[in-house]
Amino acid sequence: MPGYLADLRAPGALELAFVRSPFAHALIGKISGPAVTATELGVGDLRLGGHGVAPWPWPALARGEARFVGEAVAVVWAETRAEAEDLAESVEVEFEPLEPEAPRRLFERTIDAGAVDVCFQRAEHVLERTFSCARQTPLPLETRGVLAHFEAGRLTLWSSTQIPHILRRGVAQALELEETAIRVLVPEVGGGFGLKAHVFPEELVAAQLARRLGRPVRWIEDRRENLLASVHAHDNEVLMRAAFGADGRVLAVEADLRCDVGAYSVYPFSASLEPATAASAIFAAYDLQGLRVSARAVTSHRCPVGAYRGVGTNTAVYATERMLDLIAGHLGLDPLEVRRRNALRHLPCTTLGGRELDSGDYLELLRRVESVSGYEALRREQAEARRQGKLFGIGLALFNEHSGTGQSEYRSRGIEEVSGLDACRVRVTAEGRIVIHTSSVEIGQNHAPAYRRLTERMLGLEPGRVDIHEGDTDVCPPGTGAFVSRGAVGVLDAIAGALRLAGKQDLAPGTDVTCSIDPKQVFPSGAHLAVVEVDAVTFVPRLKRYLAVEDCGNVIDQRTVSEQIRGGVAMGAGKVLLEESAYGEDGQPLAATLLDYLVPVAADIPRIEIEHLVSPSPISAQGSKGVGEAGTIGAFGAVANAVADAVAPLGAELLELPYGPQRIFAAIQLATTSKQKKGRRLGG
Amino acid sequence: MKSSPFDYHRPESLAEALSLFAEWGEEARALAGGQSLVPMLAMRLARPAVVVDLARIPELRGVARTAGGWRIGTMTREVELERVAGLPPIIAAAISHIGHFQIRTQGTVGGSLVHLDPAGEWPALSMLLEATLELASSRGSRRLSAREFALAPMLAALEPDELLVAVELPDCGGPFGFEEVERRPGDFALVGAACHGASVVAFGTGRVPQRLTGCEAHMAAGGGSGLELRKLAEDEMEAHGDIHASAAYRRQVGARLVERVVGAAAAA
Repeated sequence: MPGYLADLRAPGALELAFVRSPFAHALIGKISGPAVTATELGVGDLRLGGHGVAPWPWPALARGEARFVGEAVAVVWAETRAEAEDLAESVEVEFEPLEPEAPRRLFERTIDAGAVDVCFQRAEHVLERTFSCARQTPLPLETRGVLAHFEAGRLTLWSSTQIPHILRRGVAQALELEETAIRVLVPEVGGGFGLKAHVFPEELVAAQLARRLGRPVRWIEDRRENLLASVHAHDNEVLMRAAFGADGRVLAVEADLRCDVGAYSVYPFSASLEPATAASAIFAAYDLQGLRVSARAVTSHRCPVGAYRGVGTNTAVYATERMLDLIAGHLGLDPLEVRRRNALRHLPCTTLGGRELDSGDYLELLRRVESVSGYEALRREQAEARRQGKLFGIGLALFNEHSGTGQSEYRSRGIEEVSGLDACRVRVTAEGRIVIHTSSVEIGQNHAPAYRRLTERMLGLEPGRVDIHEGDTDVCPPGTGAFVSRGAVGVLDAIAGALRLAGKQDLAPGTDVTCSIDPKQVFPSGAHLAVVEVDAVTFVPRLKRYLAVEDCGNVIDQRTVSEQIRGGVAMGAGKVLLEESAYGEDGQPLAATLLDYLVPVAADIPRIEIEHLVSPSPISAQGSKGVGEAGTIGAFGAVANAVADAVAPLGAELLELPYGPQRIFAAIQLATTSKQKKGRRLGG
Repeated sequence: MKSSPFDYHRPESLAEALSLFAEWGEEARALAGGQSLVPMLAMRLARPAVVVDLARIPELRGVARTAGGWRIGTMTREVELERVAGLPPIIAAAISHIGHFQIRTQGTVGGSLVHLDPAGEWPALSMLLEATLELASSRGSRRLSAREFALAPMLAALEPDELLVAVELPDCGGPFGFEEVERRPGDFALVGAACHGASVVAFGTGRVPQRLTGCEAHMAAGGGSGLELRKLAEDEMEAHGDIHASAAYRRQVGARLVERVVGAAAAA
């Protein structure tokens, strides 16, 4: 392997640095100094969107106006990055600050299914709350990076990306090149988490400059750029109303989602990603008689919002699970019991939100959580802790998520730029080695051993004859890449299909077959439990215990599944307890370093217990489902509920993520003041 | 995140260092442990023409027992201090809150004192224990009290040609309290408080570590820890708000910490 992008040897490569906007919204006047601007660069826009998505592309370099702090306005280059930064600093840009623009609506999705109004009229209880999911960022350990080289009419683009073929398509479009004139290569990738599933302005600029200058061009993002100007996640507000009976059965739910997608629509997902995903994930594991959702994407003068491990499902599960706990609290019922009464019982089924759930046993998930956690004893422990004045909380989440999204689903959402296909090419070399090329890419999920074992098993091979080569558009078959947990769905199906074709040719040297699959979404599920203690004086929450009962269908590799869950839970816990890409009123970012953008460290995460339940998918060839995002999604519900449960005896209600000490303090203050006011009213 | 260009010097004696500062004045910055200066250089928040690395100057290192207490060389790294036998427990307790092991391996006592982060443990400790700071320049040397030294956040009372050479702490054994609120283990304190003898300090709240004189008077008059003390602390504590905590949080939680540290110092 060549190592990570920054390890690639590139003799004679020029290093880029970007001149970035210090203003949230400003007119760009005269630019003086050694910089190339948008007009001089000559890069077209990335065209986005089919039906339903308003075109609002992120330009390679800002033209006329800058729309968020950190937006690239011009580019400079030098022999070293340090010199390039000196040059960038010497560039003078005449900015004329502007008032913020009114939000533009880029996308809207509505769901109106079942007898919503009747349910609300009939229901004994209605609760309404606004939940908000903070703006956050995926924060891969390795930042973005690109190395471009144009030679003999052909562009070679090394990129730390999750989407080599989509990147090739985007670059071809913006640079007006044939796709065949571009080779995208992916070195080792130090984490993506969705962030690297986009085509970025900096990639287009690097490619175009390599073409214009005739020299290799390299850009390695620094952490500040990564925090300010890559993509952010979430920033959603959910106004939710639930109609329910005295028995805790939820009849219908209404939700209004406002997704702040930042300054531009990202390529290839567009601004529809958060609202479209979140809308269908609301109450998706529960049996409803009515669901009405309106979800929209609106712009702001902040960093564009893109994909992130779990995307909109995080917001939906967070709001759903918090609402269920509020219902339980309202009725004096146990939260586990409320979930049992509402969980979907008969799978497969189609939810009111349109999810075609393929398999699962949600009651069994809850039973396992109950028995493995020792739920009753845990509640007794909680009662004892509360008697001692401790703020001790237990939180639950029950959820499903979509994995392996295919072509038809993307088309129906108006996304034309994601093929949705997964593909595998199998070659047999003259020496009889089996070479597997997939349309996916290794970004740290360690799928190669699983693909190798499947190959050995299907072909009855002794170990040591199979090579996995991914991340090279010249030799790998075109497809979607590595996101939306598709590795154990479409990619695995494609491998199995290609192996069958190769088997038909008796693995003769020279065999070269390709299988391409349009996968159908399959739905892993899980039930998670978290225990949190909030310090009664400082209000700092600490995660004490975590149990994840996961069901991703047939398990291909137990260790990989467990570690995906663990990593995901750690990320989700960080998102609930710590992380916020905060902005000031003036659009200035307030968390521009890792001193202010807090991510969990080892000491923040307890040992994560994992229990596997297996409901094989009847759809995917191996009966497996994706598992990359389940940990994060579950933690959004379970950790949030655990913190909220810890402070519930004080009358405090937490609605706004992240649940850090300040938010907890403020919620307790609010509860105390309103209690005092009530007391005074009664007294007077 | 590459620093703007600077010249780098690594003098081998104090005299050599002082002559560099005499020559360059405000254009020079001293590099101690680099835990704050290096990130500030990388973000170009600091852009000195000259960086003077103090790592090779033997007279700036080491801990010595003196007649009335302890003398700690400015370049003594926190891990070195942790290993000193007989170190007063209050110093060990304060050090344990400084970042992580990796940070304490590089971080120096003098670096923290001069950087004067409002949440820094060394500025707080120096104010609490009424430390004396020993400054030197090619013109001579002088001594300042911690209070005189801490002018404002990130601003020490150092002349452009001066260097902090050592800090002197009085004997500070005996009972104490030292508490911080950290969002993650090792983070800068949202608010902190410490008590030793008749002194109480709050830090991470205002511009510089603040001696809570009202609380101290209350204790001197025989008052103990409790609601009254908490109220006093809340009233006199300077506090600012930021994205991690509001001023109200810092004041109220800080006052609870004051109650705790005073209780600990009295009880032990």
